[in-house]
This record gives sequence, C-alpha cells and structure tokens, in this order.
Amino acid sequence: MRLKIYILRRLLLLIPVLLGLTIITFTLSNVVTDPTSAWVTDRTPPRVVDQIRKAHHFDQPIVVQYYYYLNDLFHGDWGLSHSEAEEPVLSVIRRTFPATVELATCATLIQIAVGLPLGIISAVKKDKPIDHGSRLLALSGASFPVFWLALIMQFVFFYSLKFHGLPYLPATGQVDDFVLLDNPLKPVTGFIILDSLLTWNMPVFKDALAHIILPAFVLGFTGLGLITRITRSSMLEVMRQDYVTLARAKGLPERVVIYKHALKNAINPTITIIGMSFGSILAGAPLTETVFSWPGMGKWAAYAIVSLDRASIMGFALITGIIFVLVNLIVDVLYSVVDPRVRVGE
Amino acid sequence: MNLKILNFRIPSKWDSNIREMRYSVYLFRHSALAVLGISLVACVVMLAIFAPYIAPYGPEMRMWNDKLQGPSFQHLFGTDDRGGDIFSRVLYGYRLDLIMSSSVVIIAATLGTVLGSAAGFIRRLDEILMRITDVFLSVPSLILAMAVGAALGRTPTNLVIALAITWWPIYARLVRGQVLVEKEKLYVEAARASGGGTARILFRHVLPNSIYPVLVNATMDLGSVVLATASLSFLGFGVEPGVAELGRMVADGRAYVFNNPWIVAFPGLAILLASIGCNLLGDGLRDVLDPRLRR
Repeated sequence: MRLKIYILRRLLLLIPVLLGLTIITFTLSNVVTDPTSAWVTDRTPPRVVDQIRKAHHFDQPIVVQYYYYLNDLFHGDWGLSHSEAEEPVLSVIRRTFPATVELATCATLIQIAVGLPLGIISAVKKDKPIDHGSRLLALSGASFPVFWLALIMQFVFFYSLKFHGLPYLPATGQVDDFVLLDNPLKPVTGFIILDSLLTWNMPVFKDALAHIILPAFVLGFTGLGLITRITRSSMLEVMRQDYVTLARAKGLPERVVIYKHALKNAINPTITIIGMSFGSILAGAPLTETVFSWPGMGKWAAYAIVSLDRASIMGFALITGIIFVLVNLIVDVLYSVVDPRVRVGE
Repeated sequence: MNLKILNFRIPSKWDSNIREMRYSVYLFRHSALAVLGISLVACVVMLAIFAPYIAPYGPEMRMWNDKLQGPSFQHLFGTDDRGGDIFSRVLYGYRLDLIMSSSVVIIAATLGTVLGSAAGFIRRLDEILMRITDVFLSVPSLILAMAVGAALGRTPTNLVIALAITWWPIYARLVRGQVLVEKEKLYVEAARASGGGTARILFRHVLPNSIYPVLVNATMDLGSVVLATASLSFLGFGVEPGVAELGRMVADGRAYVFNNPWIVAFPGLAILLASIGCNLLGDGLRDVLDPRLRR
C-alpha cells in the first residue's frame, strides 16, 4: 500500500520535470530559432510568411505559443520529420522505438551478465590480477570513444574474420533481408527477436541474435566498468560485516556465503548504477546505431542532425528524457522491492 | 648554548597549507597511474601547443598523389582519402579539440559555481535553481547538447555553448552542496559576527573553501567532455567535413575503415589517449585531495 502511494507521488513529481523539459524544447525550437523555418524558403512571398505565422500562432505572445505547443504535444502532433519524408515525428518514433529498445535491453543484459560476476570476483580476489583487470575495464569504459570502438569492432569481428575465412559476425543492420524473405516473420510485438521466438522462427531468431551482439556490446561497454566497480566496492563493504564472518564460521561453503548472504545485501548500489548507465546507453544510441546501421531512434536522430531536422531532434530529446525519467523511477521502486530495509516514502 | 634555537620564525598561516600541499604532491607522485595520467595529459597538451612546429605537413594540405597510403616514414600515420597527412591532422585535431573541451569545462564550471553558490546562499533562489538542474539532469547530457546544437547551428562555438549549457548543472549541484556545508561552519559565523556582509563572506570565506571539489571535478570531467565533443563532431556538429578535428576525422574515414583502417584508427586512438590521460589524472587528484580516501 505504501509502495503504491510512493509510486503515485513519484509520478506526480515527474510532471514538473517533464513540463520543464518541454519548456527547454519549446525555447529551443520556437524562441531561439525561427519556428517558421520549417515552412518558409527563400522564395516564399512575405504575405504567405505572415499567413503561416498566423496559422501556427507565432504572432501571439510567448506564453500563448507555449500553450499551443503543449496542446500539440498532448494531441500527438510532435511536428513533421523533415528527414523522414515529412512523416509525423510521433509515427517515426513508434516505428523506430522497438529496435532501440531491443538494443538497449540487450546492452543492459550484457552489462549485468558480465559486470555483476566480474564485480563479485574482483571483490573476492581483491588486489589480484583479475581485480586490476576490472579496474582497467572500468577506466577504458569511461575513456573509449563509442563510435570508434564500434568501427574497430566491425573491423575485427566482421572484416578480419571474414577475410580469413572464419565465422564472422554481421556488421550492419538488424536482420538479414534474405533470411527474412525466406522465413517471413509475423509481427506480434514489433521486437524482432521476441517475435521470432514467439512464432518459433529459428532462422530469423539466430540471425537477429548474431546481428545484435556487436552493437549491444559496444553500447553496453561504457557502463560495464562502472557496474563492475560499484558491485566490487559494495561487496567489499558487506563482506567485512559480522554476519558474513558468522556465516563462514558456521561452516557454510564460500559460494553460499558470497552469493546468498553477501550479494543480497550488496546489490542495491548496483541497481542504481544500472539505472543510471541506462542514460549512457540512450546517449550512445545515436553513435552506435549510426555505425551499425541499426534502424532505431538513434540512427534517425543522427540523420536528422545532418539534415538539420529540428522537429525530429526535439522529439528525440523529449522521448529520451521521458524514457530516462521513467527508468529511474522503476529503478527506485525496484530498490525497495529487492531490499525491504529501504522503506519508501519516508 | 645553542643559539640556533632563537633563530625561529613565527609560523605563518600558509605553513600548514604548504605542508599539506607537499604531502599531496608526495602522495600523487607515489601513485603510478596518476603519474601516467599527468604525463599523458602533458604530452597531449604539448603536442597541441607545438603542433605547427612538430607536424611535418599542414592540416589542410592535400597530397593527391599520396592518397590512401599506409603508415610509412614519410607519413607516420598514413594518409587519408584526400592525401592529407594523418599524423599532422591528428596534432592539429588535438589543438581544436582541447580548445573546445577546455572552454566547455571552464564555462560550465564558472556558470555552475556562480549559480550553485547563489542557490546555496539565497534561500529563495535555491528551490527554483535546483528544480531547473533536475530538468537538465533528466536528459542524458549528450542528447540535450544535440538538441541545443541543432537549434543554434553547427559551428564550433555553438558546439561549445551547447555542451556548456548541458554540463553546468553538475557543477551547480556540487557547489551548492559544498556551500551549504561551509556556510554553517564556525568561521563563517565568526566572520559574520565581526561584521562581514553577505558578499564578503561568500567571496572571501565560503567560496575559496568550496572550490577544491570543483577543480577536481573539472579535471575528471575534461575526459568525458573530450569524448562528448568528439562524439558530437562525429555526428555532424561543430566542424564541417574535412576539417582536422578528431571526431570528424573518424566520421570522414568511416567509408575506408575496412581497406584503409589507419584513417580511422589513429584519430580514434588519439581521442582515447587524451581521455584516458584526463581520467587517470582526475582519479589520482581525487584520491589525493579527498581526505576521506587517503591515510
């Protein structure tokens, strides 16, 4: 019950943040720049420009303009995406959203699957080579340019392997068109991997999985080291405590002590960091998706930059902000579910 | 009788500071990674400053007869698709990137310090400013910078402005927290009791004591700002195609990554070295300057 009230209150607290976000995008697209530029070219007669200004309420005071802007946003009119043949921004988002979510989910799964065990091992084997290795990994995660890592990965795992006649990973795209042609996929949820699994379409599933490995790894790499380090330090803190010593003294096997006793109490900071590193995953999406030609929101946004398509970039910023804020909310709620000691709403 | 004992001097108020600093330097020098970091940063800065003297060719020089050459003695890092010498272009790229990223950090840190200390000192401003930082921090900064950059236009100056606008809230929060702690301390009360006005207390007493974390944070940030700058240029912000800027060079060489990997490899490696250097230096500084982590 208390959890429900807490979630409700947090959702209410989101409203000012999201409104603030719309104020930023409004300022950027209507105040800093000339909002008519989407319709006006050099050859538009001044009379028509005036008509356009009137039709879109640009002749009104700023506050009124903001009202119309919000009104449009709520009614699903996020503008037209100039770089996608004037398709409405919201419809582009709907079309590209599943691919990005699929990629981000896989990246997060890789982070957890690699980062968590590595963090635990480097806490258990403190100051051993593997601990130094994980430190190096954290450092390089924070220092590697994502786009460069993506290109290098393509070079090594696609080009070099293929060149030497070894099995290789595909470098671009979400799924091979020929595989898709031979094994038509019935759309269920829009997520290719999930759909192919649900309809038991093994060739497509395998192909999509092979396609996602490289981009997901690159995308997850930035936050990987951080997750490892945080897991390590909170594990170290917990392992010093008396109840761990007691568990050992009782003669429990080390595996049980570490995974059942220590880990459960050390997991919370890791959850926070996983939530926070979702931000770096979202930010890395335009870079990674461009290099890997991944048909998601990031690639769309990156292309929008090149063609100076403001409505799309604002829409992308807005939707990213909403996702990020919601993910952080989920993480905070998870926190109290995993650890009952954390009383929410106090 | 030993007369030397009379030859003492009254300890000045700087003595403890100097001793503290010496100890910090001692600690810093004994951390191998921090030394590696500072040497990397020093190397990169030197290369950037003396680029015109070190670089064998100009950044925009085109040697069309030598295009797409692999690394050799004549062209250390090879040449790109327009016959530009990549080694020279990397050096000049360091110049541009370092200027852009350090301006971002300086602007963001200044703005953040001013607004953060205002928030910490003036209660009415506090709530508003912190809610504003909430909004800014609710979007990943790179994406917000994309939006700002798209609105302003794609010039290097606008790239700096876009990144600075998205980066200041971190500093504002940091300074505000620090000011709130310092403000309650006894020496501030003493200064107020002896008649110091708000401005004097803020600038003479509170700010100098809150500035350390800002400096450490700025060093640590420089690495991520270098990355962000390069990333935005890679996406098409900042500089025009063909300009010697590290992120742009990687973007321009993308089409050649398989057959002529050096075009992409060396500029990226240069970015990597710069950001690793900054991160190591920042980590080392934090370990040394944060009293909780040392001793």
